[in-house]
Amino acid sequence: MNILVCIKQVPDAETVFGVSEDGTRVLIPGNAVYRLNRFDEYALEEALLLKDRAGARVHAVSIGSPRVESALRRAMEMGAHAAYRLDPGSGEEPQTIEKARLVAAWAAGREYDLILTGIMSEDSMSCMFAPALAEHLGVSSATAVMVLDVRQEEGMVVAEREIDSSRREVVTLALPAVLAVQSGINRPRYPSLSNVMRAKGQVIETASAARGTGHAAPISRFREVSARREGRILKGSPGEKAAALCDYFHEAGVL
Amino acid sequence: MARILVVAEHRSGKLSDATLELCKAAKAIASAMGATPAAAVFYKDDSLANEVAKYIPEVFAVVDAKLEVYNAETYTEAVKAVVAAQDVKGVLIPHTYDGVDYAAKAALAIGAGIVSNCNKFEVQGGALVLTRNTYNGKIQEQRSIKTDKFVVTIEKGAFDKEAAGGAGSVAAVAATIPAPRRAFKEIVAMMAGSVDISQAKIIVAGGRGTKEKDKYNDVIVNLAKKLGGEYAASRPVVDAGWTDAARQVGQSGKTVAPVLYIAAGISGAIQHVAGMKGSQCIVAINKDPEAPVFNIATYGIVGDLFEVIPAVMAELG
Repeated sequence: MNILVCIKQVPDAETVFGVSEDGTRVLIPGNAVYRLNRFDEYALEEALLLKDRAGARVHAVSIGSPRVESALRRAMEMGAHAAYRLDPGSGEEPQTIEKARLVAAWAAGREYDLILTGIMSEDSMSCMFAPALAEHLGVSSATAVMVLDVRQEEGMVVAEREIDSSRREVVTLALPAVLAVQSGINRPRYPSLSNVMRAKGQVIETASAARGTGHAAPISRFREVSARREGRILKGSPGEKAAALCDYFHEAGVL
Repeated sequence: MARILVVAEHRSGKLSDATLELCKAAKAIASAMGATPAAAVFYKDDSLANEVAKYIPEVFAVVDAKLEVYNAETYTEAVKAVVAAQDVKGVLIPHTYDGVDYAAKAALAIGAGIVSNCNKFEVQGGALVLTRNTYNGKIQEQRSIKTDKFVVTIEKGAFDKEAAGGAGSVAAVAATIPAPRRAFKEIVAMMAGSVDISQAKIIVAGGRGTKEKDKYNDVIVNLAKKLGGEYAASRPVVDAGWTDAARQVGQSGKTVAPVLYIAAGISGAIQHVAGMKGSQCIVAINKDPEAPVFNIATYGIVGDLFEVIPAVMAELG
């Protein structure tokens, strides 16, 4: 069984983001820490569990500049057999739907039985990648998957997906299929020392994913949300803040 | 006239609240764009279409036995059929588990642009501009639609529910729905758990910032006990197994509205905020001064929760 895991590198959630003066770009400080998207770790772990149980081959792929290779390296340290970076060339970062098209064009013909990814990315938060990828590939998809059972001899996967806070639906999908896994489906592993050593010797392959000419003009304007605060920020030492808070509790009759 | 089309969402023949919110949204967007609001209802018969007609003036019903239960593939086909048969400018889909499961497929199938997870709109120079949250809720993005047709997914709670009372028209749209490669088997209920935090007057909730199970117990559980309230958590804490799913607050957990809600080490992503924003007093404790939780906090403390909470405990005596 061949599994592809689509991963994204994102700036750490605690990064202090800014916005360019004209509002067209989000500014990420030069010293920002980039990580593997937390939601994609679950997809990777699910693939590695299938590797452990059924000897699946696990490949990781990501779109972006050479910077994203640290996320791909992390995937190999966790246990992926190979990692691929799709280089979109210069210009604006492709939007989610465009990324799905680029991955589909690359993955078509590579005979993956299963393609896994996280339910969303921490930065763009669109939740659109997996269904768009499936539509481009002409295969089935399911999102918010909490349980998956691959029955390769029957050519299908049984998946349980969340449909609200208290229910799941069970669906079957013909293979190949694209699944966006929900957080909490497993507990992602930490890289083992032997995998870290093995990954050091591995090469991340690069493929061009050029988008042709005429990139779309920017269509987004950004602004920082923190500018619109209404509440009161308590100042001082931890003790002073705690005292002020308890005063408010008593004044407001909360306690 | 071009239409702004809501795709109704239902499970087991019951319309979702999100559908009624989208009826409200469709009317507002249509009015601002010089279009008309409409809805598409996919079901095994026309009973639900008649129900939706109480909320919106024009309803298109695609009736097929394969549409009894939601399915990403049959819904994509049905959207395609309605858009082919009628003059549709924009398609509104709830940003819910089922909505995001097929919205991008539908957009690609009808050759439309898509903007997901929107909570506000305006029309600038004839173009629709949508507001959405990005970067974990720290940055707001306003994206304008440049494509001829568009699909938009709308955050739950962004619009009020439309009230019933109208008597819209219902027209059938013929569609050939191929047998899907994805098949529905059954719905299973998750364990409800023994505790009901939704009745608590005081809730102390911990997030990823509590770092590990023992520390979560140390600060969050103990402060809750001291205050005579319940302890709760954001999803990452439940995912990591530090506490039970029954104590999860947010879109995929419980909705609570206590007198006092203390959020410690919780960044305040929309998925969590949706479940607690109705609280009377919200206290946020987080070491990231830019954490979006401070935008909704009545009182905010920027600092290390492992210093602040023991100080609060000491102050309480």
